[in-house]
Amino acid sequence: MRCWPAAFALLLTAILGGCVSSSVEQLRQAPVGVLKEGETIVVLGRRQNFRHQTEADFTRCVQNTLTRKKLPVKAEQDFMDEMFPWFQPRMAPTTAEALAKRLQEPAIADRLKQTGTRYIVWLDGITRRGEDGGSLSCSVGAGGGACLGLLWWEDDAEYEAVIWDMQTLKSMGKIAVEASGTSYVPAVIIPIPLVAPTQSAACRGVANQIGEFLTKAIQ
Amino acid sequence: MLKLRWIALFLSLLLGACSQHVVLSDDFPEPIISQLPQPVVVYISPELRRYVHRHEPEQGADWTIVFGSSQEKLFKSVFAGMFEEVSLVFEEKAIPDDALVLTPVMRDFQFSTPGMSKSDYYEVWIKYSLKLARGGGEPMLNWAFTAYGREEKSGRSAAGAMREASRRAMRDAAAAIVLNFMKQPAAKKLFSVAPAAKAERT
Repeated sequence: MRCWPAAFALLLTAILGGCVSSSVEQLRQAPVGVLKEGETIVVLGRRQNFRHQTEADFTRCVQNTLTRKKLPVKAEQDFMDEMFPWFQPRMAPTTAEALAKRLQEPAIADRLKQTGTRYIVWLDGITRRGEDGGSLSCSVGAGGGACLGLLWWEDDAEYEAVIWDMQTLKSMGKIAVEASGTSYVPAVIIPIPLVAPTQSAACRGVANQIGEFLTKAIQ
Repeated sequence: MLKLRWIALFLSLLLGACSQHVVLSDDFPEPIISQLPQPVVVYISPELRRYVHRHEPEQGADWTIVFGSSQEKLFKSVFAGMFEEVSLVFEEKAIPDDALVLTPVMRDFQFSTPGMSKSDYYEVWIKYSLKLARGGGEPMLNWAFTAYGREEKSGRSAAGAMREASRRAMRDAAAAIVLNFMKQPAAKKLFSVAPAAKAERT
């Protein structure tokens, strides 16, 4: 008899299954120059103590996706060591304009050339928890335990990637991604969490566009 | 005999879960900044080298954070980037009388865990002061500053996250020195330089 509620829960989860919708916009401002041997791409997340900070796992996700596309990506930490301490949270630029200004400082521009950093992908944005609701209750008795109810919540991701060419010290383009997803935890005896991969969808969206943008640089 | 071994193993696992031991031994990169020609002596005191933070609350895990050689590495890198000639001294009596002496002091260390702050972060605050004196004389400058570091709780052990947050706080201390030390009136007057941010050394 207990199979029916479980089957119902599975059916419900299949219907409602944490779904994500996303949209990506791309703006090209300059043609992509071909990467020379030894030149690399670095993916930087916006860093700032206390306040808004792009999640480290989002930056890692974009970096890993670009690496899988065979692009010569340098680890963010290596870049921060090479440029120490100008990209530490205390000193890191917080806007694209500030980044542009920082990159034009002679000492920084020279070090970028020395270390072969050709493109900087600057990520800014965050995933926020939106509305939530529902109720779920569990009880335990002599015959066992069971839960009943439904919880849901929304996540909204908004990110922007700006690609900078260190040879020309100009922005080459901008990619904006918005994704929103609703996660559910339906419970009929057993709670089954169905978490919508909102941040992953945003990462895929932005990384694929950056990849498309920059693969021309290795052709 | 076998039962005793199992009990000992169980107890050690239980006690291990209640105490966290972190040893910092990181290297720090030299800052990109124009070097000053004045030779300086950096005094790394025994207190700084042996600094250990112990936190033993009535409830929750005990924490021991051993700074070990990381402090020496931090200040050695920062000042080697800032000055053309730097020598490290580990004993007070070895400080030359006429040398410009920089003495970093660790005044306080505080941390918070996700359990304490109900947030997603391990956070670390380190309060340092940096003294500038001629030989063993009275300090011309005693500048205090606070460094901060944090690490998300996901993807690491508690000790690993605390180590990373501490490492970031120490890197932040280096950034604070590069950014603000030369803005202190006594340092500015003594070294007669423009602010460090306008540096041009690569």
